[in-house]
Order: sequence, then structure tokens, then C-alpha cells
Amino acid sequence: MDAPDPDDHSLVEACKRGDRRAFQLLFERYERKVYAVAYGFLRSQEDALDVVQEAFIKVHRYLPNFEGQSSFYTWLYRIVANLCIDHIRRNTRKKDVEFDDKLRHDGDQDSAPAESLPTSLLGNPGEAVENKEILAAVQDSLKYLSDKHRAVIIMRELQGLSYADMAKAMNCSKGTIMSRLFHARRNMQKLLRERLENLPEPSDDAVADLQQEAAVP
Amino acid sequence: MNDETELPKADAELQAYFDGELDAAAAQEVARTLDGDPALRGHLAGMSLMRDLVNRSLEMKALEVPRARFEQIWDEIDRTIERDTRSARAPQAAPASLWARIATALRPFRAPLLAAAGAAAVAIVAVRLSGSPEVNQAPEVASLPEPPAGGPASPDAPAPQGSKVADRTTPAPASEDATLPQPRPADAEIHGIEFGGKTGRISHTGTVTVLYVEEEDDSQKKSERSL
Repeated sequence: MDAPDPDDHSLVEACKRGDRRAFQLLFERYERKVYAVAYGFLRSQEDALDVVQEAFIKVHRYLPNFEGQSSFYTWLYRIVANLCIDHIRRNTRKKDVEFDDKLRHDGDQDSAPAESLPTSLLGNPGEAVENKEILAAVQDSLKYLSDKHRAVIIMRELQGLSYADMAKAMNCSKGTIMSRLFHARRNMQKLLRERLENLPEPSDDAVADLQQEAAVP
Repeated sequence: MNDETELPKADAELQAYFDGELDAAAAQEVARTLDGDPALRGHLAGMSLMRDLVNRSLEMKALEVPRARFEQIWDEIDRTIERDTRSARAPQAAPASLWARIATALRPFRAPLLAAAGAAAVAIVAVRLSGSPEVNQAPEVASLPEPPAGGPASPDAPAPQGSKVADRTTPAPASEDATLPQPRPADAEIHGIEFGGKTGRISHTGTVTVLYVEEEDDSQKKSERSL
């Protein structure tokens, strides 16, 4: 999770005074982060881009009410999470199914240590996060999580929302969030482990390529 | 075990410790437990790695979106903000005029008033027509006046004398003549009209034709109609 930029506050204040350019700077700073969150929830590029647009329009409308009690990005991420959850609810209603965990498997009956992601499977953790195949396996695993499990994973791991904020966004108790997050992590680790066991060892060249790509803004 | 089931205390505490949701005292206790339990530390390391992987995979996904696509979205946001700003300013414009406010207040009664006015107009016309036996008579006035003998009519020539119609087109008071277009002899084809006990005259100027109708008993009463 990135630290909040110290300039966010002054940009927000400039936006409140009607400075459109300041708002554009905030947009440019967070556009990809917001997209990543929305994509994590929705798994569709166009839907995620729609949420980016909707989120910033909402931010601009409600900016005069933003008192700065939390950081700007926490506030922004809360808006994005709410929009994504609404989007999923609307879509699942259309499909006549519920925003529910039971849609996908929840076979996490075992004890916690047995379900842990074995770091040995990934080699050096620093290299693992730059390995294309491993990242693709992560994407694939996210796809197979239920909507609710994916939502809590994204809100916690990517957005860093507190349990209280997550409970508010998902309209449930903090206890439910803790339980849901626990099961979501175990399912995610299980799915990832299944995929990683079939992965070939990454070559040094592939890792170098990825590191080079990551350096390009 | 499902999402609604309460977690075992150890699992709940380890997770809350990892997510930074424990108070200082509880966090210290979990840290002490971790020191003596390598399996638990491995579990924590797995959670940490998974967090990094999820973050990195989604960051990479976001890098696949071309810059131009975000520029397009900004343009749309900018247009929406512009619309919002304009609509926010609109209510601060000048307040509605008195007439506009009266018109707004009367809006619910507009249809009945119009209907009543229409019915009254029809009734007046019907009453007047029924009391006029000459109404179907041939319009004896609808003919051109004879030009004076001995030469063609000219714009400057005096109005024909001796014509019944011409006599009855007595000019209206000067003040009214000043505001209404007057017929020019060369332009007018029909100089006067007579029906239902009323007389009138016609003024035709360019594309505008005005009918002046006077009541016989009250020459001050006058109505006009543009054609």
C-alpha cells in the first residue's frame, strides 16, 4: 500500500476553491490505482473504467463535504468500494443470483497452517512478485473466488480499508468481515497453490524482462 | 464453517495482528506467541506474500490500459463537471418576473379560462349573427368605385364622391388614424363593408389588411382585425 502523498491535502483544498487543474492532478495520480481496485472487484476492463469515471465524478461532487478526517485516498477508496459493490449487486440481480459466497466453492475446512501459501513454492518473494506466470496465476485465482471473498480481499489487501470500513461497505458486522476475510484468504491461498504447483521454474531472463517492464511508468 | 461462523480465537487474533487491528497490548501478546512458533510465522509470511502478489498483479493489470483511455475518461469527467457547474449557477440567475410568477400561479386555471373565453366568444358571435337579417345579403359594397369620368384614377386623385360606401367610411378620430394604417386609394380594392347593421372600412397596406368595423349607434366603438 502506497503512503498517502503529502500533496493530496493541498490539491483537495485547491479543488474546493474551484481549481479544475488540481482535480485533474488528483485524477492522474489515482486513476490507475482506482482502476486496479475496480478491476479486482469486477474483472472487466470496461466496467472498471466506468467505475473510475463514476468515482471521480462523485468525488468532485462531494469534495466540499470532505473534511479531511481520513486521508483523501482512504475516502476515495471507500467511494470506489461502494460503487463496485453496488455494481456487483446490480449485475447479480440482473442475472437473478445473489451477491453470495455460495456461488463458488468454500472448501476451507482444514486448519490454518495447512492452508498457508508455501513461500517455498515461489522461491525468492522479491522475484515472485515480478514473475509473469505467478502474477497470471494470482489473476486466475482471483477470478475463481466468490464475489464477496474477492471484495474483502481487494478492500483489505489492495485498499487497506479497516474492518469497520469494510463492514460498513458490505453492510454487515465486523465479526462477519473478520470471518469472511479469513475464509477468503484461505480460499485464495488454496487456489493459488493449485496453480503454482503446475508452474515451471521461472527463467532468469523472464524475471529480468518483468523487472524492466515494471520500471516503465 | 462459513463466513458467519465466529473464528477460533487464535485465528482471529493472528489475522487481526496481521491487519493491524489489534491494540498495542494484544499485538505484543501475539508477537510473543509468534516468536516461539515457526509454523505460525510461516503462515504469517504466506499471508504477507499473498498480499504483495495480489497488489502487484493488479498493478500490472492497470498498466495494460493505454494512457489515451484515461485521457478519454478525464475528458468525460471534465464535461460532467462543467455541466454540474453550469447547473449550480443557474438557480442564482435573476428571479422570475412578476408576469412569469402570475403566469405560473395561474397555470392550473389556464385550460378552464381558455375554454370559458372561447365559449363566450362563440356565444357573442352567434347572438350578433342571429340579430342581423342582412347578414346574408350580397355585399353591395364589394365593388370597385367607379373612376371619375374623363380620366384614369391616380394616387393623388380625390376619393370618389357620391358613393354610398365612400360616404360611410367616415374617418375615425384623428388620434386613432395616426396609429392605424390608412388605405391609399391606389392600394385599396374594397373601401368599405356593411353587414348586420354595421359598417366598416378596409385598409390594405402591403401584406397587411385591416378591417375597421363601427357600430351604427356608437361610432366610438370600434373593432379591428388583421388579415
